[in-house]
Order: sequence, then structure tokens, then C-alpha cells
Amino acid sequence: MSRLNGVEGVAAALALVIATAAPANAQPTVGEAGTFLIRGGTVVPVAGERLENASVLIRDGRIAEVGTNVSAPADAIVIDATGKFVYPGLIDSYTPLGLSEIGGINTMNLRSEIGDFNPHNRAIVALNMDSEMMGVTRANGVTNVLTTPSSGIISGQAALINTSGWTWEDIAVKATAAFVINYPREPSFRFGPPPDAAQSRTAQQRVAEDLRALRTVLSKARQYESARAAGAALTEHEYEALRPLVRGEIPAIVSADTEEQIRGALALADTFGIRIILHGAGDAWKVAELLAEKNVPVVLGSIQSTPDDDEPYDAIYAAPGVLERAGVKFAFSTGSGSNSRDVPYHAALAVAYGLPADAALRALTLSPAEIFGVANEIGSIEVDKLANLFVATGDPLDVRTQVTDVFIKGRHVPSDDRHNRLYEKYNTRPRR
Amino acid sequence: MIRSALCAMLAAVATLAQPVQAQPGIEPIQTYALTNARIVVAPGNVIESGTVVLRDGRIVAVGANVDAPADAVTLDLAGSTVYPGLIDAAATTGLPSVTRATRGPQGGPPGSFQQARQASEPPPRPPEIRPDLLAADVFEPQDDELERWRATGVTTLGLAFDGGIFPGQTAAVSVVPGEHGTYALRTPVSLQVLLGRRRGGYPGTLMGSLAFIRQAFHDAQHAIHVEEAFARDAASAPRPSYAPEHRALAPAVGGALPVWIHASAERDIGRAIELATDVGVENYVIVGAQEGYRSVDALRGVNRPLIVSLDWPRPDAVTGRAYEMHIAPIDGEDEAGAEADSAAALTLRNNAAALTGAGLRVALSGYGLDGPSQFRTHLLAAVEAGLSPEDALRALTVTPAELLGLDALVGTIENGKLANVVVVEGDLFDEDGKIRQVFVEGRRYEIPDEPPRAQRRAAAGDAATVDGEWTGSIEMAGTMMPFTLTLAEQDGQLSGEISSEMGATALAGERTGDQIVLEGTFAPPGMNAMALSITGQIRADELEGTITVQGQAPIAFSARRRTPGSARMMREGGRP
Amino acid sequence: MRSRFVAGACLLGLVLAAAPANVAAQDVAIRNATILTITNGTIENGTIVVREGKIAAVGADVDVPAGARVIDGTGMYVMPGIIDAHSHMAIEGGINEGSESITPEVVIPVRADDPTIYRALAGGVTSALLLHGSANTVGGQAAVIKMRWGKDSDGLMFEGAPRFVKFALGENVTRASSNASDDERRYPKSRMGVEQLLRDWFTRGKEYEAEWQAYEAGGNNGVPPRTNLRLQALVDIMNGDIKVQAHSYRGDEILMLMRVAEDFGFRIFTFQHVLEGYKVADELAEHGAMASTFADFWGYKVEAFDAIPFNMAIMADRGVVVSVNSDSGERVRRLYQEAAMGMKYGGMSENQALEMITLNPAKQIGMESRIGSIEVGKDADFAIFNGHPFAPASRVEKTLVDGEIYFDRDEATTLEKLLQSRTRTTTEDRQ
Repeated sequence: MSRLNGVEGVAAALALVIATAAPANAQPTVGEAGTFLIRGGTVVPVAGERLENASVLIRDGRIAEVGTNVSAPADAIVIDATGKFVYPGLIDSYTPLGLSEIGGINTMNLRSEIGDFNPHNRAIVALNMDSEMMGVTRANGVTNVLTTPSSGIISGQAALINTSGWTWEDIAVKATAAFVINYPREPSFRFGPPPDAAQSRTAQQRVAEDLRALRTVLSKARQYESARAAGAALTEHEYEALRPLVRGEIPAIVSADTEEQIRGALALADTFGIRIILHGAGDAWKVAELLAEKNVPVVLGSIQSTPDDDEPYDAIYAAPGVLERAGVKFAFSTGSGSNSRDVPYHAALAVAYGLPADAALRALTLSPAEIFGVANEIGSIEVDKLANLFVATGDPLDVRTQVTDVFIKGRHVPSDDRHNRLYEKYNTRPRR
Repeated sequence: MIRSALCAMLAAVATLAQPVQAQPGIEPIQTYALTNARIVVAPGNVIESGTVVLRDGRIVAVGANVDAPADAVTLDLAGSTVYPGLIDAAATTGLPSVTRATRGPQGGPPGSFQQARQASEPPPRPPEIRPDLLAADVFEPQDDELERWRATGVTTLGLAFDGGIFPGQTAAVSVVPGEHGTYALRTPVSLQVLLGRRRGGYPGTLMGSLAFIRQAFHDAQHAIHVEEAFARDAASAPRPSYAPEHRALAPAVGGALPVWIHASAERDIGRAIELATDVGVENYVIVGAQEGYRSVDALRGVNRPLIVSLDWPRPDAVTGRAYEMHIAPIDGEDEAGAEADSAAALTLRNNAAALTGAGLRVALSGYGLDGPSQFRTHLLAAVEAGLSPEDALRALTVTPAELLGLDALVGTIENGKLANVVVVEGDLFDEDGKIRQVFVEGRRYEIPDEPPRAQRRAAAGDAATVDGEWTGSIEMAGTMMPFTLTLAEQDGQLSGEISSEMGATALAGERTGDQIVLEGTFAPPGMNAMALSITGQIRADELEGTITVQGQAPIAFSARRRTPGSARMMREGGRP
Repeated sequence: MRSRFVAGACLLGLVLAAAPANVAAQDVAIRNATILTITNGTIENGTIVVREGKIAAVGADVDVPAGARVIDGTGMYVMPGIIDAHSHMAIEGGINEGSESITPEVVIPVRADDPTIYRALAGGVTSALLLHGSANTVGGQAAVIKMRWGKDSDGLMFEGAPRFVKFALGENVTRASSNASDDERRYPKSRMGVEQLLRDWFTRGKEYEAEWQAYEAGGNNGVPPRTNLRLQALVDIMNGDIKVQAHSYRGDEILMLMRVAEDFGFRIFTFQHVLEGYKVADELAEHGAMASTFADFWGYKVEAFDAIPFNMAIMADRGVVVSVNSDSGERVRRLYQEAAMGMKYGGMSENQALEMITLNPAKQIGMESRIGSIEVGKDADFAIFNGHPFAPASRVEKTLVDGEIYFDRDEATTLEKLLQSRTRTTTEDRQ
């Protein structure tokens, strides 16, 4: 949670402490459980019209009631939301959060495994619940992320998680949300001299080899599934892990940027009958109609990026608007652990360059929930969904907005993240 | 002894009225009378029909009414033109490469604090920083290289190193093999300075090099002051430094030794001028100046001579292209981009003409090109772009002779000068002109007919023919599949087909320079039609490229031409 | 056929974007806009008149001179052109002379045709401080430029700007992530070594200065000492002729550098990054150093792990002049978004937050007399937004430098226009 300055801030902090002091089982970091009534604010459910002067009742970790006439049960802790807004928790759809802390330190960055094909590796079992980055992320209302292993061609299984919880079992919304695939590509030469003809050819050959290898793996995965379905014994864990993919139950999230790579990914999906989500997809705007036709959703890469010199200066900012107009379902991602909390500001840039505001909010909430198959649990403020939501002084895409209360799985998350702690310490240093 | 006997025998053979076969090695010096020739004595000074007499390696007579001496080998050059031998003032031939040298000793010794303190002292002598090294001392050319120079009509070379910061001092040599000492015409000619980098030490950036060069001149100036003080009163003066770097730079500081500063792009030309002004060097020449056309005012302001290189940068990398904010079209050909590239390429080729037109003193050079093979092609391109033949000739004779300090010896066909002349059938600056004979210091070399056009263009790295049948194989569905690609070209447009065991596909496309692009529709039996595209690059009889089938990743391939190019040869019209 | 329209559109962009602009001969007036002056509050429905590249008048009731080129500011917000006090754009030939650790004699060479300049203009930036990298304890001298896209490197230079030099502390300088053996490494390897290297070199600088003073007083037998550009630069630093911009992270190293400077008689002009500035904010204010930092970027290195987004507010609260910078070709496009974080984290006022990308960085590049606010007499450098710069839906519509429009979204090739041209040609093909 972001703080107000000086006296106001201290008063607000005290108010929060008093308001939440009642239950005896106050838990730092994970947040206290209980019954909460968020009262009298503007509720933006995303799945419907916004409700003025409305309230949300949270019980047993879920949204129990939403409306203008919700009454508080006796044991409810009341959060006054007068003049404020209530939003569904935001979702960052591609991050290393929890897997990797400081990227440059090897021991803090165990996000990738040896070998090109690790479909059986699961991100969910390797997450640090006390990651400082996770702490500051939830403080800005980002209640869910897709955390992804990296490197290789099939990196492993990405997990859709809450950004607060006791154990990885506790935070998992969907332990295996998608298989992470990196579409083979030539290495980027941005920082060195351009490759000569020989280097280019080598790089192209390498790409062709990787692509053949990927097709071979997918082909074998299909054969393996057929055999197992017919009664054969489990023989290989990698192919065992891929069975939900080939059966179409779990999608693959494929990182592909250029039009060529995107078309290649689509061809893979067609050939092998798998569902894919595109990630990155810098050139998606070039093939928006095709994506809409094939119903392939897109997790956009960081909007805080620069286009190539021969692209329009606003190519990356305006691309989401193009996808929206073409009817493509998409979501935003930061690709960052430390700055996952900024995902709404990525969306804000898109709004400035042509994406309607409500479409931007949807791409931060309900769309990713649908894309990852967890829309029954999160993504909007609707009865029976998990109580993943936050109270704020304004539009979450507005940098100036303060997030005052965050709920994850119905627990009221305290504002004791690293940044608030250091702020408390040094803001109260006696002056010289 | 045996050698001179051999020479005598060859001389005897030569006096028979049979053409002497071109041979590598040293040709004998004889007395020649070149008669009935059109003689270009100097730019703008032409004798329509006359005689030149060469004796003992010198020009001894030239004129319309000169008689051939009795003892001369008389050559009837009716229909030919005799030019002064050409001069490339900045060639890297025969010198050790600085850019490809193994890394010199690491700069700045590591480790202790005391050693860190000393890190700012000049590091031990890496190849990039050896201002005292004389090019003449390390000149070791290959015979065939010199032969190729002669084939372009060049009879005098200025030797310059290919990189570094202070790689050494330039020299001038004649284009004949032999111990370098004998054929060196002048050493040193100039102090060479480039805005280069030192690998593995200071300076490793452009800004570092600029500071380093300034400091080097300060150091040289200081060394001079100290020596003068020492000469006045040894007892009280500090001890002079006899470091080779200081000795090398001292004459440059004084102005006695010209400084050649390399600068290609507009901003580097500006930096070179600023640098020279800053360190008080007035006697300097700018080498390269490929973007000189953008700096005409600044260059006229300082009015220093230029050695203009024919090694043009890529048209999409010239200064100012970025301001065009070119946005690539989403699909289809990038016509606007290609047009802009062509326009920029034309402007670059016209650079020398722009500079001579602005009244600047220009010498032309192939510095940066891959040796003499590209020199003539680029020279002709410059002439076609607008450089007048007379200005071109001046830039290859009189002006470089002056810049090399050799105007008394070479550059024109005048009595007393070295017997360096070029005999051309046709016009020297016309692409149909053929250089038939070259005399270097009185030695005669016959220039053989050009090798087959395809090979020559391959050596020139320029446009190539497409016509023919190309065979190769590509990996498809896990196996190697042979194919045959048959192509024909007309006016830049290509047509043909690719056939394999999967059937034949008609192709259409075009060629730009040595790049080809082809498209067709591939319909293997029992499958849907797919778009097929082929891009490739031709070098002589090799074609390398990629085949892309719709929706798939490109597959690399290489193919060889089975038969030589068809009789209908392409003109060299494919220059970028 | 297909790309002819695109070519036409490009030519249009070419004609207008590439016209090398001089200081406006024509008067310019921006009418009826919300003007964020920074120093004199906000003017609703205000007008700015520009003459010869300078602000001639600003107010709610200002007359527009005849013949002026009028920019309709209805619904628009005009703020001073944004100033980026830490950039590595437009630098040629390498940003780090990392071969040795003390190299103040080198000077950043500017490369004018870097498209980052154009993209910065599209983000409302009109001036920038181009700095040497952070590989050296004492790096090279900076260049201060205005985003006069289309001019050559001389034309970009911000005339009258002071000389600056880059210092660096911490992990980059000590090559902390290197696994090379000591034999292959360069001193210093630790923060302790950084301090001693500085003290040693500044001592040598003092000695060099004394040598020259002795010579000028008639000594040394009339032989001038060897001119040493490196030591001369150190002398210039100690005399304040070259001002110091110091890359720093940790509170301890920030304090160390201030004490070293004080010992040698000079001040650190501005600390860069200074992510732990909040821990030593009082000391910074006392020393007189300014701070140019990130809004909420953190955690990418160990020394950035204590960075907090409240850094700006805490330092400002304790009297330090604070700006936010980009240190990247990406962040430079949205510095207005970064500045707004001052309001979110620590409750800065709107004007305080705006100062962080206008008046404060103007001070940090020594040009506050010319830029950083909309006042009569200052340069006509403006960023015109279609909404309040801090509002989520806002973007830059036009950017002016010296009264000349260097970026105009109406003329720029945007993604929308590119797509429209394709649609149109597809229709043509069908017909």
C-alpha cells in the first residue's frame, strides 16, 4: 500500500491498525482472514456496469455479496470506501515473480533449467512466498500473476498464483496454467555489430534445427498420449507432462515476436491440435484479423519498450488498440518481478494511444482470467469468486492513485512490504 | 650473374617484333619508343598523335614530332592513348594489418595500487600506437597483388596502414617487385592518424582516442621544449625524453612532416579539423572524406587537400538518413526505402565530383576497398556519377604526386620524370577502355585479357550473372532433396523454375546487384498450394540463400551453377 | 502499387520532419490552453507568445501578434519541455572509456542522427544531459544538448551549458559481477578502493596544479611542465570549473564521496541514481548536492535492493533538489509518468512532482536561467499534451524547441496511419 505523507499517513496507519485489530489471529504479510464489508464506494466489477454507492461483502475468502443494499453482518469488519473505488485485483500475465529475485545474482535467479525441453518442470514448486518483490507487487493491487520459467524451447509449466499466501499450495490458483514455449529465433544482435553472412546463415540453420526438434517433440507427445490412452505404461516424465497439452486441456503460452514467428506458432497449433496463447507478439498488430479469426489470445510483452527505427514511434503503444478493434482477446504483462506492480501503467500508455479505458481494465483482469481458464475464480467482482480485489482513491491506471486496501483470497493484506518499512524508518529519522 | 644473363636473353627476345608475354617478376628496363599514340601529358594537355621515349627508366622525350631512337623498341600505338601512370596515394597493400593483428600487450597493468597509479603512462607498443614505424620498413607485397595494381593502371602507391590510432608513417613506392629499399620513392611521406581504438587498453573509445591524440601532441611539444632547453643549458634543464613516440611526432608538430588524418563521416571530418586546429597542426591532409560532400563549407574553410576514398559506406548508413524517418511498409516491397538507398548511393558516388567542383584539392584512392580489384570498378562508377575524366585524371596523377612529395618524379609525362605510363585502348575512364600495357620505371608489363566476366565481377564483389542452371539440395522433411534451379534474366527481371522430385514450380523475381528474390507457388502432389519464396546471393558460380515455404521457417541452401553464364552476358548495370 | 501510398506518406513525413529548423523567424502563439508554468501556478485558457525562440508573453489575456503561427491549445496542457538529466543517447563510439578507472580528459562525442532523439521529443523531452557511462570511478566529460532533431552535432549543443564530468561508485566501477582473477582485473575492486583511488588522484591533481603555479611564478627554468590533460581536468574539477555528476547507490558511498570532495575543496553537484539518497538526505542537503533518481525502478542489482519509490519525496522533504531521469532510451519517452509517482509515493504536490522533470533538472544541467519553467524571457521549449501530463490517457501532441515545432503527432507517421495506408491500397487492389 502506498502511503500518505506525514501526519495524514500516521493517522491512516493508526486507523488501519484499529480497524483490523479486532480479530485475535492478525497475521503479518499474509493478511488476516475474516468477514469484511467494503462499504459505500464505487464498485467496478468489470463483468458488468459500475455501481455507485455500493458495497462488497467478503466471507470465507470469497465474494459473498455485491450491491447497493448490502448489510453488514455483526462480525464484519467495515472498511469505509466513501469517495473511493473498488476494483478486481489486477493480473500481470507474464513474470518471474517468486522464481527470481535479483536477476543478476545466480543464486537468486533459478528460473531456467538445463536442456531445451523441460515440459515437466513446474514453476509452482519453486516459489518464495516471502519474496520482497511479491510484497511490493500486491501493495499496488496486483493480486495475481502468471509466473513463468524461462529459457530453452519448452521451459516448463507456468503457474497462475495469488501474490500472497503461506505456501505454494496456498497461493496456487492454477498450478499448471500453461506450458511455456519459446519459439525458436535468431539471437538478437542489437548490441553488437550486425552479423555477417556466415553468422546469419549459422543462426538461421540453428533456428531451423530447433524448430524441427520442437515439432519432433510435439509429434512424439501425440504418439505418447495415444499409447497411454490405449493402456500403455508411463515411461517418460517429459511426455507424460505434455499429455494435457496434446489433449487440448492446457494451452501453451508461446513467446513469438515477428510476423514470421507468429505465423509459425499458429502453424504449430494447427498441425498438432494444441491451444496456444501468444506472448510478446510485437508484430501481432500486423496479423490481428488472423488472430481474431483463429481465436488465439495474446499476452502482450512490456509496453514500456522501444520500437525499431523503421517502425512508427508509437507502434508498441498503439498496438493494443489495434488488437482490440480487431476483436483479439489480450492481456498485459510486465515480464518483471521487481516492477510487476507497474502493469496498470503499461495499460495506461495503451489508453493514451487509442485503447478504450474499459478495454484496458478488462485486459488487466477478466481477459487474462479467461485466457488462463480461471475466470470462475478471479478476474471480476462477482459473487462466489475469490475475494481478490482492492480499494483505491481513483483509477488504477492513474499513477497518482493510492491503493488503500488489498484483499487476496479474502484476507486483508497488511502494508508491511519492504518499501513501506524502509519509508517508515527513514521518514521518521530525526532531523539534524 | 645468372640473373643478368637471363635478363639479356629476355632483352634479346624482346627486340624481335613479337609481343613480350606478361610474366610475374622483374621485367627488364629497355629503351622504348611509343609512337603514333594519343598522349595525355597532363590533365588538359593532350597531344593527339605523338611519341614518348623511355630510356633508363625515365621519360627522355615526348612530343608530336619526336623521332624514335634507333636502339629503341618501337611500339606502334595507333588507336591507343598513353596516360601518366596512376597513383593511389593511400593503399594498404603489402603492409601488416593493424585491425587484424593479434592483440597487443594489455594496457594498464592490473593489481596493486602502485601499478594502478602508473596505469596512465603510455602502455608498451601495441600495433595501434607505433607512430615511429615506417611503412617502407615493413612493406612486403605479394607479386600477384602488384600485378593487379598494374592491371588497373596504377604505377605508384602511397602506403598507409589499415587502422589503429598512430599506426606509423606512410611511404611511396613503385609498383614493381624487388627489395623495397630499391623501389621506395619516398619515406616518410606523412604521419598517419586515425580516430581508431585500441583493443584491450586505453583508449578503447572514440572519445578516448581524441583525448589520446591531443595528449600525444602535447607530449611531443613538451619533448621539443625540453630538448631546446637542454640544448641551451644542459645543466639546469630536465632530462630529454628520447621515446620513439616523441621523436616521431616532433616533425609533425613543427609542420615539416604532413599529418594525414582519417575521417570518413561528416562528423568525423569535423572532429579531424577541430583536432588539427586544437593541436596546432596546419600541414594536414584528410584521408577518406567519403561524406565530404556534406562538409564542403568546413573543408573550404580550412582549405586542406583531401585523399578521397572510393570505398563508399552503405547507403542506408550515411549521416542524415535517419532524419528521413523511413517507416517500412507492413507488407510488400519497400520501394521508398530502395529509392532512398539508390539516391544515397548515387550521392556517395558523386562525392569526389562535388569536392572537386567546390574547388578543393582532391586525390582519389581505393583506401578501404578489398585491394585493386574493386578500384577500377569504383573509379568508373565515380566518373559515371559525375566526376569529369579530366578531374579524375588529376586526382590520380598530379594531385597525389604532390601529396606524396613526388611531383618532380611522377604524375605527368614530362622529360626527366619516371617512365611510368599506361597504354589504353580506348578511354581510360570508359568501362570499355582496355588497359593493355603498363610501364613502371621503364619496365614494360603487358596486361592480359580480363578473366571471364563472372569471375572478375566476383573478385570485384559486384553484380553477377544469374543465367544458368543451378543445382543444389535442401533438407526437407528430414532428408536431403536435390533440386535444379533454372534462371534467365532480362532487364533485371528474372524468370525460371525450380524442379525436384516433388515437381516443378515456375518462378519470377528480380535481381539487384548480387541479390536475387524469386517467388512462386509450390503445389506438391496431393497437398495444398503454398507460396514459395527464394532469396539468395550470387558469388561467381555459387548461389547461397534461403527457401521459404509458406508458414515455415526459411531453409538455407547453396547451389552451384552447372554451365557458365549464357552468351547474352549482363552488362555491369547492377551497381547499388 | 501497394506501397506507393506509404511512400507518399513517408515523403510527407520526410518533408516536414526533416526540415532543418532554425530559430523561428515567425512568431508563434499557443492559444487557449491550460498552462503549467511551474513557477507561477497554472493558467487556465492561457496564451503564450513566442518571439525569436523566446517566451515573449504568457497569461490569460495576452494578445496574439499579427502574422504569428497560431497553435490552437483548446483542451491542451502546455508544460515546459521535459529535461532528462541522465541520458546516453546520441553518443558516438562507446559510452565507457573503461580501459582505465580515471579518465576525465575524454569528452562525450555527440552523434546527432540517433532516432532516440526523435522518440524523446515524442515524449515531450526538449533537453538532455548526455553522460559518460558508469564503468569508471572518474569517467569523462558530458555533453548538454537540445533535441533539435535534424541538426548536426554542433547544432544540437546547448550553447552556454557548463562542463560536467561523470563519477561512479559501487558495483559497476568495481566490476562486482566479474569472475576474473585479480591479475586480469583493474583496480578498484571494492568500495574501499574507490575512496583511495579518488584521494590519490586528486592529490596528484594538486601536485600538478602546484607545478604549474611554480612555473608561472618563474620557476622550472622556463620549461613549462608537461601538459597532462587528465590531471588538468582533475584540477578543473577541484576548482569547480567542471561540475560533478556522480552515479551512486548506497548511502555509505554517497556519504564517502561528499567527504572526499569536501576534503579537496569542492562539492558534488548532483548525485545520479542515488537510490539510497533517502538514508542520507540531511547530509545531501547540507553538502548542497542535488539528486537525480528513478521513480520506482529497483531490485535489479544488490545495491538497488534498498531502493524505494519514496526516495524522491523523502529527499525533497529534507531540502534536496530532486529530479527523475531516464538513463534509457525507453524511459525517456514517458518521464511524465515517472514524475507522477512523486505524488503517489510520499504525497508530493502536483507542482513538486512537475518540478522533478522541469525546473529541478534544469538546475542540474546548469541551465535554469534558460529553461525549466514558462516565464517571459526563457526559451520557448514546450511539451503540449492532450490532457494533464499525469493523467493516464494523456500523450504528447507537439513538442517545441526554441519556438520551432520539432515533433508534431499530426505530421508523424503513426501506427494508425500506417495501417490506414495498407487498408486503402488493399481496397485499390480490389478495384
